[in-house]
Amino acid sequence: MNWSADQSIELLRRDRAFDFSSQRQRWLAFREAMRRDRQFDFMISAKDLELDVSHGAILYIEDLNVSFDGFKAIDNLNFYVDAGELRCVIGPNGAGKTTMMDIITGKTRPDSGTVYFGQKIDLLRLSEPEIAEIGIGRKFQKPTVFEHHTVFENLELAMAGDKRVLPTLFAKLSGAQKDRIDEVLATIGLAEHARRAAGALSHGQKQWLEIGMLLMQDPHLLLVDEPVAGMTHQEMDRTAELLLALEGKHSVVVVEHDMDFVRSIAKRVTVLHQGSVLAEGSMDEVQNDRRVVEVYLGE
Amino acid sequence: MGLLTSMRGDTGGQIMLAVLAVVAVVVPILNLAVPESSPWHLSTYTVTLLGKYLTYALLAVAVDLVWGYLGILSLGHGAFFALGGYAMGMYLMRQIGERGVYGDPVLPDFMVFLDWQQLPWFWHGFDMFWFAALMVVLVPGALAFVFGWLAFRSRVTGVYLSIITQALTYALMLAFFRNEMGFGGNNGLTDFKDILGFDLQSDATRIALFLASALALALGYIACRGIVTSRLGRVAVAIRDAEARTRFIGYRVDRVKVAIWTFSAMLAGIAGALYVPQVGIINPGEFSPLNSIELVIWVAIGGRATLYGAVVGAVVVNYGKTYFTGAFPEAWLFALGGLFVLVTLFLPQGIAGLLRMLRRRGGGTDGPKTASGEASA
Repeated sequence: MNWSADQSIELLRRDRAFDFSSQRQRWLAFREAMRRDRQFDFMISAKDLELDVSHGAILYIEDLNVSFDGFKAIDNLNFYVDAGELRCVIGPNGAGKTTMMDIITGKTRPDSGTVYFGQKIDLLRLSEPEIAEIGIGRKFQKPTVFEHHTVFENLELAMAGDKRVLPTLFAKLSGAQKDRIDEVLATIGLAEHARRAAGALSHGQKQWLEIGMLLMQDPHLLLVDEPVAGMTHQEMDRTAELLLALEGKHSVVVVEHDMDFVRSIAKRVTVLHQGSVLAEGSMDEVQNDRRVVEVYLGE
Repeated sequence: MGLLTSMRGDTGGQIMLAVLAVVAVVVPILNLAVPESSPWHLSTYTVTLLGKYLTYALLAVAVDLVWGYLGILSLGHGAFFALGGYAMGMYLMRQIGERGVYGDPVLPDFMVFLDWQQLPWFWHGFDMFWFAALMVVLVPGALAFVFGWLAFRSRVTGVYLSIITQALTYALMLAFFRNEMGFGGNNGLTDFKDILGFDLQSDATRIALFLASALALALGYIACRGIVTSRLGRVAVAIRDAEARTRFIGYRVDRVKVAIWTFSAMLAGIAGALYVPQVGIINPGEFSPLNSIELVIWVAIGGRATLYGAVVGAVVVNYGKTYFTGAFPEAWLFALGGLFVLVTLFLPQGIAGLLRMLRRRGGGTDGPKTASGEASA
């Protein structure tokens, strides 16, 4: 190729204005795509989600279906819980009470249906620890406390906060956190047992400690599975007081078999049968419902 | 000295560290300052033996951290110990230089013997001490991280995990036995000359290695105490006692396990690196599953979940081993087996538990603050 002197001079002209506008456009598009502060949908962490209960309800379960090996454990279930409400759920064995709890807490995935926490949070998209983190606490049927830790340490472990590895390694108990633990100790009536190993507590005390551990997580919604199974009458009365004291501050769903106990705490009762809601209302309404009587007593 | 606060309330550990400090002062004096003719003189052979026990003790502490406090029964911790040892061995091999039998300035003897022309890529850098020292923690750490990440995320626990750790060390042993691996095959690495320019055979170097082992044990112990007394330590015990419950409270159980497991493997690597220059050899036998099982027995005999019990167990059992294998060579394995059975039957909390019991009977007030102490009171 033959370069003329003119071409060289033209190319090397120092005052030449280069036109980079198209490159710049592309660069800007690239920058936009690679923005570091951008939140992709799948990257939004559970912590960032805000609980929205402006419509009054904290839990929406709609058209829920689950089957295990052909057995329909949950059959087109619709179930709502209001914010601050204490709700009792009763029903015969196999009615789907525990399965419903499992779905809310992310342990079991439904075949179809929606489960929303407030208006905005889709629980079916979150993992078990994420659901615990956004404020749904569950007490299991069988009390499992950390037997080798003291009552105080059990509550400390359950406390809401940064639970990643390094922050946990360097965590120090602040004055406010200590006060919070003392407050919960007083609520569950175990203040004088704070330094005892949890393994040495009585059955009823372990149940209360478990409820205390739930409270330490500052949950919006508490799921309590058979809290008074195996309790003495005095312990039952104490448990009823404890749950009633939570009403208003937390939404509580109690699953229980003991009718006397349910009567002593419930304002609204939901009866589950074969995976769907059979009746809902006050204890008296439910008890006089013909279908409920049929299910419980047979014809 | 923020770290030392973790020693508060750990009477056994305080006593152990005090004894260790006294030994670290007395042993060099008895070896270097007392003339050989004196009955008080401590032979260099004994110093090296004690140094070896200390590296074993550090290894036992690493095992107790994951077994006693996290509930992971590792039957393969010898693998991390051996990997740390090999990293140090590679450095020591590169220091031999032209003094080898074949006199090759770069290639270790076994490579010349195998007719290799150049150094394999993974042997580069090991002529520098800092690089080897880094590898001593990085290689066992990386292996533990990958292994733990896979195993703990898949929620492999209990006896299945123990079997996998056993398989891990067994696989490594078979691999390292192969000449093609480039680690000296079944002869391993040996015939070391010097470390950091100091003659490995001299008394002063032996004492320095002994002191380094004592220091590593003390620091490793305090670090483990730091973890155990932190909230993370309480989470670890919670995982040990009720894993599903801990997960439900919101802790990422798999990450806690991976972190502590990896830390423990790094400690084991450091122990291995201090072991090799003192015994003068590292070979694939160190990966043998039997070694890993024996080391779990040290911890069981010393007392699980006490940390200082692991130190006591490692020293006592290995002293017994040295004595028995000298006096009655055939009886040692029976003695070890018998000891394990007796401890499991009559002293489920090991020597540490026995000491605690004696102290309480003697009117001591400071029992353990957790269940075992107060529940029975």
